[in-house]
Amino acid sequence: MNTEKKDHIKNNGAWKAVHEDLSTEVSEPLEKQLQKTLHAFRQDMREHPYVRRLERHEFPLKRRLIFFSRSWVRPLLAAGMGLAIVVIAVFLILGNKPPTWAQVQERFRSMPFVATKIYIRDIKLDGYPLNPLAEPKLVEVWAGYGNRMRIRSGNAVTFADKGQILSTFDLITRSETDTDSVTYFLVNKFGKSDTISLDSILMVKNPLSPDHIPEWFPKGFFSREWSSKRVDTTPLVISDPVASKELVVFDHDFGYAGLKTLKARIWALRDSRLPIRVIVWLRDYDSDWRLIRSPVWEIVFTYSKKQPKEFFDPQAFAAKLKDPAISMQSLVYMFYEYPGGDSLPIN
Amino acid sequence: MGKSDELYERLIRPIEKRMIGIVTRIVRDPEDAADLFQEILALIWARLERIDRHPNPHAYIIRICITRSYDALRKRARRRRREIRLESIKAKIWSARPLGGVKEVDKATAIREAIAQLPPNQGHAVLLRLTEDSPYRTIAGVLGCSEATARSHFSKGKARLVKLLSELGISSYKEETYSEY
Repeated sequence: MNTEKKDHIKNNGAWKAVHEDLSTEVSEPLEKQLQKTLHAFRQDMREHPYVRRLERHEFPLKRRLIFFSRSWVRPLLAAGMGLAIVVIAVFLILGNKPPTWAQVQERFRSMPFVATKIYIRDIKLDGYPLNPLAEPKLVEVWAGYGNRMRIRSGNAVTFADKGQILSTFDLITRSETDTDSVTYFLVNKFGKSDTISLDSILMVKNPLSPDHIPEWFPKGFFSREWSSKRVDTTPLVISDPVASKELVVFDHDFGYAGLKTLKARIWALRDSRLPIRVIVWLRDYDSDWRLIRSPVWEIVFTYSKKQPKEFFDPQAFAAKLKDPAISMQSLVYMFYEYPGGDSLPIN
Repeated sequence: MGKSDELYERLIRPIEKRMIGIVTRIVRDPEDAADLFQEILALIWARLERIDRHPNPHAYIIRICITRSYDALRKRARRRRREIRLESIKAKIWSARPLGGVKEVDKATAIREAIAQLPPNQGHAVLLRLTEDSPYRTIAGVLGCSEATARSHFSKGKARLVKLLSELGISSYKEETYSEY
């Protein structure tokens, strides 16, 4: 290197010769000739496939963004895409999380109107053995407007408000009648709160009254409420992975209270967190632990359009009841607004 | 204005003179220069899309001009060496004389042959600096390196070139103040 440097210093003349030789003016005829070549090139460019594609705007947005943008846009795009991937991954991880029981309850409570069909199959025996072929009894319950209720049980239609029965009408005799035990039970069960609560449906009072508690039991050992253990049993109940993506199942084991056991299973939708089906079953044993009664309640919830206030109004219903021109079939769902204008008695 | 005109105005028009200057100064023969220019334009045609997407399309085109011109120099130098060898075998008169001595070839050819012996990066840097008086920043852009590296390529190339030229006997100028590089 040192030698090279020295040579370079010594040979400034040589360097000047190089400089002069390579910085000469371009001859005019040659420049004109090359300009002509450039002009021809310019003309030919019109036929270039890339230019044609540009003219037809054939470049997709992605390519336009990536290739036609400035260099600083590319890292920005990459960072944005990375961020989007992270957000999607977080959303997928958190979004797939099954809803908790509290979330299901909260969602149910927020519904302004609920239509319920309850199928009660009381496998009950005055004597033994049990009859598992017993036909279920259908009870229809509509609730809305701050826990106003309308219940149809057999021939009877009952109106209630916040746990208070307002009127019960017999559709055959077209007059007021006594409330049956199931309706009374349901009105009490739905509670007196302003909202419809899932817990109030499931909650059962301990059938053991303090009088029945043996004296030798420590005081306070039995509470009046059943104990409750909630477990997410989705994988056990729904083995199909596709179905379990849509549904979540909760099992409630209320345990023993005296000679009774109570269990409940709730199916809820994963995304909307709304319960759609509940099964409650009770086992009633005699003192020898023989099953004497086993009522099973299957409750199906639908969340159709909100019904008009008249639907829950006993006075409006009573007025229609007096009109002999209105058939019994019409009275059953009087003031009910069918979704889609259909007249079938469906929720 | 169509897309092709727009593209030409954007990519080629601003550096037309530089392109012509580089080619004609490096390749002195008008016919060779015209052929080389055609070759360069053919390459630009083939790489038009890539050039358009390039963050510095002008530097890309100048790089094509420089590399092609430099390749032409080397090709020519190789051809001449082959011819000399052939002649020496034929006439047995060149054997004791230095390669491309100034007495046998003109000065311009000797200079170009000396440049052709430089490593590519040094050759490119020297040619850019000499033909269009490019600042080091421009040279760095064309070579795709840092300014300091461009400066280093040039100074090494210059030193080597001067040495080669002195071997060829081109050192008769005595202007010691010539130090702008």
